[in-house]
Amino acid sequence: MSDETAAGRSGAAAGVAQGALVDQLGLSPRGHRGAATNPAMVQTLAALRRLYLLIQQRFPWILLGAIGAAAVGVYRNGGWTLMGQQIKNALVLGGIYALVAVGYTMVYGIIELINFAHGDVFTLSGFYAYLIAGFFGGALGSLATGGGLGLVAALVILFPITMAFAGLTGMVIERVAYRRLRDAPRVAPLITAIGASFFLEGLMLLVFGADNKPTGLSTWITGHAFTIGNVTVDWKDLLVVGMAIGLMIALGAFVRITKLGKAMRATAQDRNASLLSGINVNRTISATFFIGSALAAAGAIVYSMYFNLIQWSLGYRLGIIAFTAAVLGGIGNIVGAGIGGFIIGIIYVFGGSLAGGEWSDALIFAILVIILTFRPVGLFGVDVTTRA
Amino acid sequence: MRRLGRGLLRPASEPAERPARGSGTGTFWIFSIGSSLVLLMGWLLPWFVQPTSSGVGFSPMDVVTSSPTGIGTLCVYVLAVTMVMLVIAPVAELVYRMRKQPVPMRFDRVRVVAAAVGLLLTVVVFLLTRIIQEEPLFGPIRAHTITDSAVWLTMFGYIMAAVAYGARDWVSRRPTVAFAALGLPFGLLLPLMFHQAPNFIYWAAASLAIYTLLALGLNVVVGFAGLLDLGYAAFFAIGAYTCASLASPKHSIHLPLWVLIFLGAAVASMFGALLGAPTLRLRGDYLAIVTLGFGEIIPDLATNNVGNLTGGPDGISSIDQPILFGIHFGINKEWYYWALFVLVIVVVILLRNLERSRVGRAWVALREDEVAAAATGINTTATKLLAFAIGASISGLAGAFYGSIVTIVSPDDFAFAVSVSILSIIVLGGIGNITGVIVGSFVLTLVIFWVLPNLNEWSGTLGQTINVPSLSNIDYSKYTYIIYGIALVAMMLLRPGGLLPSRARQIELKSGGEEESLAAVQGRA
Amino acid sequence: MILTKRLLPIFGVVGIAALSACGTSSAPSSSGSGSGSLASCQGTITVASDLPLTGGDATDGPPVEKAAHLAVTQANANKALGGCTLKYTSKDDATVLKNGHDPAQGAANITALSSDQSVVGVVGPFNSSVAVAEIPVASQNHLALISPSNTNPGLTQAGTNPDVNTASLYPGPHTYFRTIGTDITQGQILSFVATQELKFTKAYVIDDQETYGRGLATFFKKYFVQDGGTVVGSASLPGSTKQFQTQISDAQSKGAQVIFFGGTSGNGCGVIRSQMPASVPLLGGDGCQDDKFITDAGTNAVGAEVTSAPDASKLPTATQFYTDFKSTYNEDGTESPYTPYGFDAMNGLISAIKSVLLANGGQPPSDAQTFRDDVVQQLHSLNYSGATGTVAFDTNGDTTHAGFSLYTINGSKWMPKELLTADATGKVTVAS
Repeated sequence: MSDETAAGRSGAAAGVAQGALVDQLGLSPRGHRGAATNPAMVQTLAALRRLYLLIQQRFPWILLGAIGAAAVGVYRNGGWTLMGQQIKNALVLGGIYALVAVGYTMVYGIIELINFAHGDVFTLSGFYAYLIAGFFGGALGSLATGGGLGLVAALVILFPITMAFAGLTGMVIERVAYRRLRDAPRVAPLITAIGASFFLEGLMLLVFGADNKPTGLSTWITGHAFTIGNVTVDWKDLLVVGMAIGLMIALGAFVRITKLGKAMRATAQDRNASLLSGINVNRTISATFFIGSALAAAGAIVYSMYFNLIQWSLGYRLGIIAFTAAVLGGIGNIVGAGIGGFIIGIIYVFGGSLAGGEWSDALIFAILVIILTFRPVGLFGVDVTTRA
Repeated sequence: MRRLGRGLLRPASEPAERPARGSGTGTFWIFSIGSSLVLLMGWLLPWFVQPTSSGVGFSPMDVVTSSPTGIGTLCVYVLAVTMVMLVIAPVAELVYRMRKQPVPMRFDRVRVVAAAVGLLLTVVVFLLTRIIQEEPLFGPIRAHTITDSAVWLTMFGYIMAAVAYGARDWVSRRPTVAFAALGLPFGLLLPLMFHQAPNFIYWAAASLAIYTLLALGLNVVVGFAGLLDLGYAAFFAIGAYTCASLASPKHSIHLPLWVLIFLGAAVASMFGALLGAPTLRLRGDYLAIVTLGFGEIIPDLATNNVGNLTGGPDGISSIDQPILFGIHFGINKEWYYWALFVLVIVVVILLRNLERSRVGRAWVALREDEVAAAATGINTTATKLLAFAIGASISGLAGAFYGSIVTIVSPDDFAFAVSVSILSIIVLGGIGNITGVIVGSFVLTLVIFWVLPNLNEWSGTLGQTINVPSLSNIDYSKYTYIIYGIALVAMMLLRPGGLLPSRARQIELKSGGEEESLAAVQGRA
Repeated sequence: MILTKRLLPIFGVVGIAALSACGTSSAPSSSGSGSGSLASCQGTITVASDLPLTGGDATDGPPVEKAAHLAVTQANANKALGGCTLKYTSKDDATVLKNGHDPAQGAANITALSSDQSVVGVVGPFNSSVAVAEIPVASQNHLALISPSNTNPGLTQAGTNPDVNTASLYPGPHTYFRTIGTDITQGQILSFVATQELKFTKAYVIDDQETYGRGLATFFKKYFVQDGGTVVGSASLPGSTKQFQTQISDAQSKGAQVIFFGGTSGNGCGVIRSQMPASVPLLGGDGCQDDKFITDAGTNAVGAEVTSAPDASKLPTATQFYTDFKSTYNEDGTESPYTPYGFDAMNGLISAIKSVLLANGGQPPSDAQTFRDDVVQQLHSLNYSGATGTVAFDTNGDTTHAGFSLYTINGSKWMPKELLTADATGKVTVAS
């Protein structure tokens, strides 16, 4: 565990973290080569430090302010109609990001690994869903488009099977690529994670081709649910957001109530102690990967229902964006990841609406850099008790 | 609590029977397998270079219809025997190694003799055909060409084999010297050996040389200082875009390349320091992700054509190609290669000196234990910044050349996949070992940027010849990502030190950095 | 040859292959006789194509490539060059990294083709962004480049497109030609369709940031405003974009009656169609007119109107071509309107080569550079009757007859609706 994040975490109090962080910036006058003897230099350094502290302490408020300003901008551009539509878009995207972010945060929480391949598990699950939907000669599709009850039945078939396949994929990746390196320095499994990610991407490229695959799932759910003002909300929108929030709550309950969930929390806190108290750590970690990947699969299904496509390289950028959401919410914090997902969705859509869609990605990456630089503990810090 | 600073790698369990030889045995294996492959290449080259052209002097029909006579035949028979012997030699080595027996001395002696005879006969047969000159066996020979590719390769293969089997101990004891002794001439003569394959020379300049420079630069950051940088392509992009802007009609500025490489390096290193300043206090994976974010932002800025400077996704094209002493580099690509070759040598020398200097020792200390390093008075921030700046400046150099060679820079040339390919090179070759990095970049760029694209053509030709149309529809470049993935995962799991593990690393891994003085080893190496 | 043969016993393969060069030059021999007939012509002349064949452009390039290949096969079968044979090389300018056409790959391809002394002309590229990278290389090496589909006017006409520095594209002679009209015409026609035929006054314009897409969007905006329309908003998104919801909401809230997309299907034309409401039509240029659009757009595909190369499938001159194409490849060849243009571009090139040979006494010029220069010269004065009509170029290398057809989706296939042409003043008329 790296020192400063450890300090930030275990302390969970912002004050402790700040002291450690500022010091590591190298801005404190340690007396190297007489750098601090020059009064102008001392002043500049002090000013920089104050600025840094300011940003660090007020980070949530700065972010909130920026989002508020963006909202005003969107309102001035297109009134309540545009505002409502963009909020709807933001919630849909945010729901998908949240589902993927949870996988990052759970894995990081338990073995402190940035599971780089997670975004590609997302993509792969999209392909699973595509294959499963077409498996019975498209019978599932006709069932789904046939009528209300048929749709429910098709969803009940599609979601669990896809999620199970995705979960197994996640477990296999953990077993093959990460388990042997569990006690290695943290960067070693990160490199294998990148390798695993590229391997999966290459595999999808080979099997499914380079092009987008229209999944056809977008025809399953059609029609408007209700209208508020000029904003029409589709059933599809409701499904995405409902799915994200529902699964999030289910996961929260699972982690709190069940024995496996408790084992996860215990393992996240102290692996060796968990081992001593009789927890099967390997199985617990496998289960974490299973759940994280399954949630990503749920995200992938709703993604392909919404955007009607899946492509081999999709998971890379989407993965980084979801990871940003996880960091924003405080990596290791499940609830934080969920909220982070929705915040990132709002930033992505509002930013794109104001500055032009081509800036959305760059904006998210900038936020990633800024959070990690100024506030690696995220918006909420990490409440150790909810970490799993 | 585990310290992150202690290297990137976990302790590897070394084979017991060959202790403490550093990368010596690795170098031997490279020589052995290399000579085998080079001989094989010389053998198959005519087919490789122009599989479709008729009258290449070798076809199965020729073999069937001709009958052996005369001294030439005798020569060729003997040549064939020596060649087969040396081509299968690595397999024999492997068998002995797996049975954990030492290779008998007489084996080596026989092989050395075979190599010497083969070398001699190659020259004899070559001269024979040249003197008799019944037909231009070796094709049109350009002014700068000394002789034919296949002959070059064959001769080099024999020499390599002679060194590998004749001076096995020397190779093991002084791997770097041995590597330089064989690698330098090979590198220098590469364009001559392949003068009939313009594709190959283009590859050597635009892929091999550029990626070698990039990998050397990333090696400073990842290998020497132990900081994982996942956005290294961003500095490559900055260098390339800087130079493209200043040597193209885009802004109607035309500076010579020789100025630009310094400019590119300077601008890139400035950005390196700029990015480094606020983020270097992060360690390990967080730093990796920040650099990743940076590496995504830079191409995004270029794609979005900030300030109309970068030309959007189309990038900047029509980049100038220098004309020096009457040599047009754009037409004679081998001169790009030679220029880069010299540059690589200069960079290697500088880096080796740097590694052994005060700064190099500071990097080792930092990598080993950051807290302890800070306690001994090392300015950790400045030291890290320096690593970043130096690494970035080397990629800026590469960027300047890259734009000039391919005449166009566009944002996708600097995508994450490029950063990962550079990382794969150093993981494959051996993190922290300059020789390993060069070998890694040769192997990986050969496979990814030459073999895979050409496989499309070869298998297409093969498919047409043997009438299997499905062969011509395979796009082998799709395997690129899988190869990177396997290289990274397999190397990290099975041989975390890479093909040629760095000696310092090995000692670190073995001793945990406590019993032996690393600085002393570094100073001696 | 005697020694070589004798040195080649079965085992000798090892040695001799090591020694033998790949050698005999494939460049045509130069021992010219005085006669003007081609019967005595000796040697192999290489022609090439450079098109995007894989990835997101896999529905665009291959039919054109096949057509060009067909032209070479036919020419060889008919002994069009007498004793000389044509060799055909196909290059793919698409890369995995870009999932489609890649300017850097294009430049590398042209570099490779240029350094092969036997190559005298290339059919391609398909995309204007690739053309920007390739034209300077081709020009420097005096290599003729005939594009069946580049529409950006900046490639040939200086000062028409601020994004392209036309003069800098030609460091050497002007070796670039194209068989299709420019986006100036296409923009005028699209604006005519939007304002006169569909009676729209509010458009939202999205482009894919590339030379072609940006250029087309710019010209559409210009003429749309001239024709009395209002551009209510615009966006410029990279080709990798998959989610267009934000922009579509923006367009809707601003009351756009139509969304215009300047770009290719590989860069999201079909994807954007599948994500926008079916009631709002999509207007686009020739980059959208392919099967990929239909696949991507799914059930929403209907309701898109795009212009593309004049439909040749009904022309009597093209009947033979489509028959041959069908019998060779077992495909209709009508998926892309550019297919016969690829055929004509290659045939134009072959016709120019033939003229060079005839002018040189039935033999290829001895010097590769001279040969290439002569071919370029012949192309400038070309007048060839092809499948799509007369193939001829003006001084800029642009085709002398320019027009575009309007296509709509009918039964999950693109169907030509009408042919439109624009005169020098920008007045658009419906030709058929």
